[in-house]
Amino acid sequence: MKDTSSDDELIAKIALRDMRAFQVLFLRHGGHLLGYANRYVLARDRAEDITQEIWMKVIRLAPSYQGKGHFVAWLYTLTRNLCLNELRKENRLVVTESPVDGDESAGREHLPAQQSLEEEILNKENWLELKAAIDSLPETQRVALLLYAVEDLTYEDIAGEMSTSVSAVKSLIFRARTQIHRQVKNTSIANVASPTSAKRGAL
Amino acid sequence: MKKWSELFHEPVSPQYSDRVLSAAQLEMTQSLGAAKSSRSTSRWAFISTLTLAALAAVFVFRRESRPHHDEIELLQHEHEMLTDADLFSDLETLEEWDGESDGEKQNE
Repeated sequence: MKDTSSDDELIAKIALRDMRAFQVLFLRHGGHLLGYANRYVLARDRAEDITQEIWMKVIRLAPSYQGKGHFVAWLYTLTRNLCLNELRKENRLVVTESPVDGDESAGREHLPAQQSLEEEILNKENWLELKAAIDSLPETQRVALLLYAVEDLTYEDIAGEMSTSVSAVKSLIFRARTQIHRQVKNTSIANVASPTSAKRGAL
Repeated sequence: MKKWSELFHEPVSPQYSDRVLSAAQLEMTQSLGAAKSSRSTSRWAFISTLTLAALAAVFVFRRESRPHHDEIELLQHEHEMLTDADLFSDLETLEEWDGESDGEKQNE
């Protein structure tokens, strides 16, 4: 029988060392969390190690958890911090790109308003294509986009996390969005021409 | 966030699931042990604090009562001195009396 307890109810039970509550919570969010961590590190094994550590943190921090209905946000923040630490350790967050120049910014009008980025991306019909497009982005662009779109951080916060300037962050996000648009558009065109081959390509 | 998490979902393999659940079980057991140990430590800390508090109270009580004790000792000492003085005085009186009585005898 499916457990309908809320995340907060389950975490309260985990605080009392209820293993069954942990299992329910893990089954509920394990796949999402793993996928999210994998978007940062792009290595399934490492994503598994990182998320295992996150789940252990959940057990340790459960007695002091005061998320009040924001368990998922809390979980994602823990994951993001750990992933960013891992990337920093390997110097994978060093931004070397220059700010957007005139030619690039001229293409801005073809992109939707930045506020609707999430909608724009999530309204795509084939999420696998989108996921592939995100994964194909250069490391720093991908991380900046995840922090901006998924975590909803401000440019200033992202600049702080990535130890770079706000203009560099804007540039990274702009380039990431342009690249995604281009890639998803190309895939969509290819999809119309040959749906099967396009799907295989996206995977 | 919910939509994004749906987007990023990846199937969890049985091996990974087993690994996390085993680690979780171990973590819970260890943290339970740590909690018990912590409770035990707290109990001992409480008992130690209580003992120390009791000792401190005794020490303070004794210190507080010492002036009275000293006073009593002083009074006893004074009393003894007085008694000795009285005794000497008595002896002197006795000697004087003896001397006087010797003279009287000689006179006789």
